[in-house]
Amino acid sequence: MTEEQLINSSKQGNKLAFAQLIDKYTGYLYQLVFRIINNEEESKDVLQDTFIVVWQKLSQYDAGKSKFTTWLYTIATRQAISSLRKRKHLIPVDDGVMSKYCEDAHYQLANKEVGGLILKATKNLSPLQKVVFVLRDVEELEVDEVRQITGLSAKQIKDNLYLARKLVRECLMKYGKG
Amino acid sequence: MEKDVYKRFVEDVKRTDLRMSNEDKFKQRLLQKINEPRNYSKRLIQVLRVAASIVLLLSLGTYIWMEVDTREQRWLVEQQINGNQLVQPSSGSCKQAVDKMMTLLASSESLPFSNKGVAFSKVHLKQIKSENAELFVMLERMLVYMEQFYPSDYAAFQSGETVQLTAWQLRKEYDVCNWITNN
Repeated sequence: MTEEQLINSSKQGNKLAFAQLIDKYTGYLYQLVFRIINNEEESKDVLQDTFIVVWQKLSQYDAGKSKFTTWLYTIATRQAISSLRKRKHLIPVDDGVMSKYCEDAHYQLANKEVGGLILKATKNLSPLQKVVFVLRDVEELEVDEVRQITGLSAKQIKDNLYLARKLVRECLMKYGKG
Repeated sequence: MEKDVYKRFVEDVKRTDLRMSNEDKFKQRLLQKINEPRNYSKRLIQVLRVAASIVLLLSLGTYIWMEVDTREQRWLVEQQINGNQLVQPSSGSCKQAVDKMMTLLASSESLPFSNKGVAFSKVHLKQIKSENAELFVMLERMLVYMEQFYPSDYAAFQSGETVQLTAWQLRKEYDVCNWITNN
């Protein structure tokens, strides 16, 4: 089945077709969500909510308006922002990795250290700044696509990205010097 | 140097291959959730909360209204006044009627008129009887009304004292509006 057929079939309530869509996009969306949330368990919860919303709203998806991936990104990003805003406590992260990473230019980052590192480097960013930073600089999406996903204007994206880069840079510099 | 650290950071984050642990378990749980009938309990709780808030507000409003009404009734009982005796605020037509009456009283040269109002006594009434029949009839009727509802003022008039009448008195105290509309 092609992606289009899977989507159409899922729209008609075919859960097997939807399961195939889940298979196809779980890894893809998990990376995005994890880069925003920086915590495995929370990311899983956000991803689960994302797929439930996708299943419930699939009938509203219009292929003529946006790509399916953009539509998925939109839902996942909004769920992630909502989760960040609801987060009541800070996730404890060891400063050690951050210091080692910033002091040693050849430090090889392990996969399991990435979450903590992003969390530390982006700790001063607002949820929106963080999302814009991840979508533009890490996922390398075009401004137009980021605009569709976040609902922000091109200027707002530019402003948020400028501030995000500045704050991340400052944070990294602080650890580099420290 | 600053730029290098930032660029390296972004490159490293991009390069890292993030994989979910227990992905199969996650998918299994997700499909189970999707198979479950949609849970409306959260929405139901929200609706119930809103309904409860409305009921609470209405109850509070009713309680406050009843409390105020009870106090007012109690006050009336304490004052030995019933609702019908309460002074009704004068309407525009009443004001006009009283003003017309005052103008008529003031226009009579027999009655002393000052900023305190119009004063009249038995002597004045006799004078008016011969000068202004219309005014005399009006004052006579008013004396009947005075005798019935304000006996102390009437007694003062009968004993030969001068009774002072102001527009305010006519509108409020003597309740002339009722008298005008009933006559």
